Amino acid sequence: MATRSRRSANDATATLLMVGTTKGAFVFRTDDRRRWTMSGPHFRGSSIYAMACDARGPRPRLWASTDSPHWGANLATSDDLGATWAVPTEALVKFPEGSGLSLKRIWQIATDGAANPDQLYCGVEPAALFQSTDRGRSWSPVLGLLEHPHRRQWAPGGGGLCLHTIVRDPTNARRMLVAISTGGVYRTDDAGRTWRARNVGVRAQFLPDKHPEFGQCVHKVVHHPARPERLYLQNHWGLYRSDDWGDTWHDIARDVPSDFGFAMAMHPHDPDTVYILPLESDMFRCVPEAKLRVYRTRDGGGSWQALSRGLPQEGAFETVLRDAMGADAGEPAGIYFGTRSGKLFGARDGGMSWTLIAGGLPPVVCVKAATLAAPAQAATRSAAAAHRATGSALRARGRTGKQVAATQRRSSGARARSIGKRARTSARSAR
Amino acid sequence: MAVRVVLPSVLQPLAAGTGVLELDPAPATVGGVMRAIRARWPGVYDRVITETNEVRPHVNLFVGQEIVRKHQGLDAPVADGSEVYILPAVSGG
Repeated sequence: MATRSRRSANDATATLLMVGTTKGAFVFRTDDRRRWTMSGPHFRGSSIYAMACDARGPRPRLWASTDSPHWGANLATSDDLGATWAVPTEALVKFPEGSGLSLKRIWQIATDGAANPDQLYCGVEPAALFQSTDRGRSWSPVLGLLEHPHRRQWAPGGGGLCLHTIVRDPTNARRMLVAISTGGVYRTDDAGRTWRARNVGVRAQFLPDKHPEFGQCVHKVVHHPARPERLYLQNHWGLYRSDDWGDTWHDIARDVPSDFGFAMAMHPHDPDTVYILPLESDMFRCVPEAKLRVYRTRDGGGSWQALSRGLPQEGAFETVLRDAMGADAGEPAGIYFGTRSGKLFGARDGGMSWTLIAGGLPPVVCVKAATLAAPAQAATRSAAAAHRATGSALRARGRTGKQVAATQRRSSGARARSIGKRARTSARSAR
Repeated sequence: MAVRVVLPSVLQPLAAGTGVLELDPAPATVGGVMRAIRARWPGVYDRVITETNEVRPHVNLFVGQEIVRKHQGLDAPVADGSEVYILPAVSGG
């Protein structure tokens, strides 16, 4: 996720966009949020549903979940901002023998939580939460959720039975909230030992009982670390806010063309500002009226305004999925989203005006932004040079245990190219 | 006699770069072949077999020219001197 400190345009920063698609990962980088370079595709042919930047260590580490149609799912890391990647020889995220479950996909990687920088979580399909306490060298399932009595009644949504959202409390390391399609929202207040369904007020349009205890198809939940108890939820029909860590939810779908949608992104600096991208309906998952519009609230869901400058307003049969929208930590904030038709849009003014950063990508399923400070960039460049010189820096340092598949390293950085001019040209035609 | 297991190129880095694994003595079944692979080349095993001990849906195993999915699956017998092929199915990303 994006680092949360404010960074003005004058600070020496780089912005990184990690874009996961159904055919590989792309990493976009810029120093001014105008001209971007791109590397990729990394993991050619694999679906990349989750990416993350862990900025807690001495240098940023990128994470990507790789899902090969043939060879299964895995987690990969890069310590040089995506130039090269390390893929573990053995799959690190595995269900225990006897559980009757096998990993299909990793949907979310959570790298936040300053209290313990070695701690990571990932959400997977079939719905489960895995935890690492050694910075990703080993993973184990959170048993309180794996063995939850509701599990047998959870059912797969269109994307599968997935745990796709992880929301941590920056003020209380024992509290965490997850969202499952279809299972709903669950919260733990005891570090994962027990979990309670937290869906009061959230409807399940597709069930005979429209307000069950659990079973909702929640698509995304976001919050702001400065006001962690206030949550925003994009549902499979429904747009909600909670001011009590999910104990109760209230409808905030006013002034939106549809309350169906997937993507939702939190403003990096303002707990009252949230972005969504409504879709017409579950039966026609394209933007309403074929107009590509982001909707923004600046008053905690009291009202929503369309943001469309620079976005196509006719013939845009576009779909934006649950993790395909994100924000950087710039000032003003940069907002980004990718479409299922392979377009990547960005706005470096909080969403007021949009440009096409890239088109022609494979279907986009994940967009994550990170704002990196200059010292980290310098450290990373140095590390990357050393890495390439040794061919297997991670193994040499012995830091990653099983992550020794040096022969699997992908080196796609050489393919980085400037796309600023092309993007600007494409953006004009998109208007 | 041994069993030879032929790997696709994408899995060879997980077996120290070799394209053919020699298993001697020969396991009696395809499941035995996979268990022997797990002991020595766990990365190859993970790419082929799930946690619930099933062949991944888009991976095919052959004993000679016979695809085992249509017969006894992992219980399919393997004779001394057989060749077992691990191949990606006709699908892709």
